[in-house]
Amino acid sequence: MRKTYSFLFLGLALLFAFSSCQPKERKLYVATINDMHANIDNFPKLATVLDSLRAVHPDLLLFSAGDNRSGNPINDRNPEPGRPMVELMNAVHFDMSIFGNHEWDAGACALRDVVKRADFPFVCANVSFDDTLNMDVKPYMVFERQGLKIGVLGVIQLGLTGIPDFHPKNAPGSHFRPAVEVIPEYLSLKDQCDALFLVSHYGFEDDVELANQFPQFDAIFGGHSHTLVNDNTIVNGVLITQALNRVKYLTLSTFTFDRKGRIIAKESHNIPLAAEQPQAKIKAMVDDFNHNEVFMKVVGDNAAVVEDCRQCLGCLMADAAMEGTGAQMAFQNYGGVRFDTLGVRPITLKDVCSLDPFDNELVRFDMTGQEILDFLAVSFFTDHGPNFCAGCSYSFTVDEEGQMKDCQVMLSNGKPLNLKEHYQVVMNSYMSSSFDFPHEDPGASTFRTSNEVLVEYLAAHPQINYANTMRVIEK
Amino acid sequence: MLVFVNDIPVKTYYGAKVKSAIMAYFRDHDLSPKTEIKEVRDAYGNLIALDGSIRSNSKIYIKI
Repeated sequence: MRKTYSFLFLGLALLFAFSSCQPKERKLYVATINDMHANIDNFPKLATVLDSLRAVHPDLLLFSAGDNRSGNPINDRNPEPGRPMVELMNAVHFDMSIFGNHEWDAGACALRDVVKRADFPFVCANVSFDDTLNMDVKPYMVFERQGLKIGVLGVIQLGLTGIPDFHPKNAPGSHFRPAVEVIPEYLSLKDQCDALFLVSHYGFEDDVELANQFPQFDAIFGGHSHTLVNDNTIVNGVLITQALNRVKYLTLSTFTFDRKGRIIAKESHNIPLAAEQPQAKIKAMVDDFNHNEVFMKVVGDNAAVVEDCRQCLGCLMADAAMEGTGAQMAFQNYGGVRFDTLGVRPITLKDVCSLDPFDNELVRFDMTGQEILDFLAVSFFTDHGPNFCAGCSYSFTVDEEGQMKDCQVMLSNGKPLNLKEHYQVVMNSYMSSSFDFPHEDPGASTFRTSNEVLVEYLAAHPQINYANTMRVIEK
Repeated sequence: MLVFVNDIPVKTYYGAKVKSAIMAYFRDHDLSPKTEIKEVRDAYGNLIALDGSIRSNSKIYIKI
């Protein structure tokens, strides 16, 4: 009996000794954010939350799911485009970012400069670059935390034209493949790592499809659709997260590994940043970026660009839209010309940025001459004033019911509008969505905004003067 | 492309954002473009921002 107890005691002692050599249950913490769109003003609050998380979880991983830029001229119109954002991301110690479609908005060379300036890697498996760009981008990364290997693959969405949603003029030098074609090439990472994550800039609905197609991923950290994905959303065993946009939320995901390094639990929690106190060091950086004299500089030295005239500014905006998109005609709606904010004075970059507070995208349509006539009539009635134009001029009368009549359109080449001919026409997204005009072509975004093209136009034409511009005449 | 706002089909341009789809819905229902939008959610009940990207057949649910 005594011998039996001795064996039992010895067995328990060995079991205890063996088990104490095994690593205990481990937890991995991953903070993710997406579509920051250069909202640098929220970075001090983000820094406060990251400080708090790192005080408790020093091994925290921090990823961005892309679209770090585009949405704040302080960042996007910096003489070194994107510099404020990448320096702030360095300062709060991002471990990795993928590309969003807007990363190309300043062109591939500006993107390369951002990548070079970053202290963290950019990861994207479905893009490659011409050697001449010298772009240092990795398809995936493997991080080590607490003896665990964490594989992270990055992918970016592609639109109907086979490139992400950016203007095609920024595409040269960059080559894309669909994510569903590329992902299988990297799934062997699952065997080499304890966890495999996908960081995706495809949008939530596509992330759900990716989760159903590739359950090998333990989590998909997403972006693009600006979705606040509900806490603990798990699809086909894959945790999916997304933290709205513009640095309003951060998502913290927790992965629990058993002694053998297998994930036994995963959860996500969105942390709102609005109520947080700003962190002083990051706030000082942001203040410094915001006090940028570049924005008070007169754009292109246009001392007499506009008189006190809605039509002058409207035609200037239409010209910029036409040149910036390569369309044959461009229209600017009456209500969208905020000339009263500008007055008669030289235009600064700050003025331009305030002209279109809605940051409307420009939309291209293939329209017949008849459709253009109908569009002008509908716009006049809906917007209580005539559209301003580029590439043409027109005159009209107004009947007793306030409807546009007898509209005569002349093209810039001196010929009248041919009602059966097709023209490439551009207008802002407010007009394309709110005005109920007949059009066969459903239209497509040019992925350019009215502000963006206006800044470019003024810079390219420093001596223009719209003081006597009269392209739209009510008889 | 075709998207659905409160389960009603709405035609909008390719590459449209959430807000453009809602504006098209307002247009089709004779609502002012200035109508206050209190909340926008996707088909899964997630909150979405007005400047978020949508794709063909996306479903958007709004409270006005």
